[in-house]
Amino acid sequence: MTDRASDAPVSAEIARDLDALAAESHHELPSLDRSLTAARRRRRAAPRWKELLMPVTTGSRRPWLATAAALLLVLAAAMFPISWQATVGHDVALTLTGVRDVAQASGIAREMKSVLGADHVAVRATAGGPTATLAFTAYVPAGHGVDAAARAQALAAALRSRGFAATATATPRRAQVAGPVYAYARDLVIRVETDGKTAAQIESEIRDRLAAAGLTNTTVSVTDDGARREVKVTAESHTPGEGAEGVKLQLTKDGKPIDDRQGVRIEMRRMRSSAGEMLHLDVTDHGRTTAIEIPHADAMSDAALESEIESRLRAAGFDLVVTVTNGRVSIEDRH
Amino acid sequence: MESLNEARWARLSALLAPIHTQAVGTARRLCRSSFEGDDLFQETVLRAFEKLHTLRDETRFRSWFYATLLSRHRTRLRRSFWRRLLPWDQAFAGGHEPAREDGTGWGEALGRAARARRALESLPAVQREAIVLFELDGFSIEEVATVQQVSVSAVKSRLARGRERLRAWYVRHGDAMPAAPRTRSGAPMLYQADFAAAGRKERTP
Repeated sequence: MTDRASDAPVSAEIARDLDALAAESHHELPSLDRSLTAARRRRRAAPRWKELLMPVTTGSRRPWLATAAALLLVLAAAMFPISWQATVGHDVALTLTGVRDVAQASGIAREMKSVLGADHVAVRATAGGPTATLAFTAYVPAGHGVDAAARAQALAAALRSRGFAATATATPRRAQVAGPVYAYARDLVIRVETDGKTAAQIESEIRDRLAAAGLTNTTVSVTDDGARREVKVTAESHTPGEGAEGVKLQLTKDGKPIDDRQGVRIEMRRMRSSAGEMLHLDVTDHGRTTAIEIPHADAMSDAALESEIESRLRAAGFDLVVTVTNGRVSIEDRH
Repeated sequence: MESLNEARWARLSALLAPIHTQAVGTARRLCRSSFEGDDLFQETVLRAFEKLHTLRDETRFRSWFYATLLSRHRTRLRRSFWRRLLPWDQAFAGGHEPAREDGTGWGEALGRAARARRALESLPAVQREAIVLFELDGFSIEEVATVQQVSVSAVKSRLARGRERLRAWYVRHGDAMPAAPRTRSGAPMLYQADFAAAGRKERTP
């Protein structure tokens, strides 16, 4: 690098760097559809910075009215711009040593590309006596929904079973990102005794208790349908982020928490960054629990998100009804 | 109301389609990272949707949209929390750099791109915009003037000052060159190849 007396090398460096920036900024561009979908979700999700979250629906199978097996988790958040470290993808490296036929590299590279869902795989062969070492590398973005580490290990194991000396690593690539983040209200447990109360009374009390906890923009519905009591609560709130906890509603009978093994409980969180929105669901259905994470949920249509959540739940052995309307997720017991 | 919104989204989609790729690239180049650029772009799309009724002449959508993009960019810069962003480091980890067909490594390219971002970041917003639009996006000086809503002479001044600042930055900081790709053991490479997705180009044409 020189001073102004010899400007050409400086200008050349600037030009090369700007060319590299031009190329890098065109790498993995979002499609028009994705951009519009994300903007639409942002519009729905950011109504004057006051809206939040999800309706949570639970149902009960208890055969008698005096009990209800509902647990509500209300998530209160606010859009609050913040910067944090995020894993944006994984750099996967696969190494094969003692390879006699270097021509096998292309086939293995294609296999690796297929397994990882990577856009491209690079390979280098280095000599080491009568054999060669093949080093394969690929980058798997976080948004591809692929467990890069697990797949890399599985691929290495498969290659070892075929006689290769194969090892694989997956290194997280982290970046400082920033964007609006849904944060959460302080941890709070609200207990509502159900004994001797009608559905209307329980509904009123839940609403009052949520309001006392600072959640005033709520819809509460408690209905008795024959042998079943159903509790539905939606709460929206605006609270600066303090942590990842939620407000918990616990229904009790005779002073004891109603056994949630009799019903369905769902916790939902949306973590949003400039890289997209991660939807996290913790679902408990009659004592069995599963967790689901869906990256880039904001870029998905209602139908696609609905289908994705349902299929994930089904794969985990949960038979629940999922409805997504304008980005709002509702999960109900099917029976 | 919902049908009106859908009609507006459809109209915006049709107007945005011809310039989407270029505009996303511009947003990324104005920001400290592609992630931030995508976020800026989404903000701009939303803003464009909200203000689409003010667009009188659809033939001027490109300059109208870009003016909105620059406006959102400057608004974000004024927010103090954005200044806490640290420059991202997308250098290839692990020591194995994939090689490109022309022999350069991704690591070097990413390092150069990162350095360019750092250099551009040192410029005032209006000079940065002028440099990005003129040098990287192929806008004419007149087009830059339209988008920045200033005179042609103002754009020329911004370009000249921006280039001067970039040179000064590189003289001070430009010795940190990105490392060329190497093998770990130093053994000679037999060959290197890049298996890319079919039909996908490595560089922008």
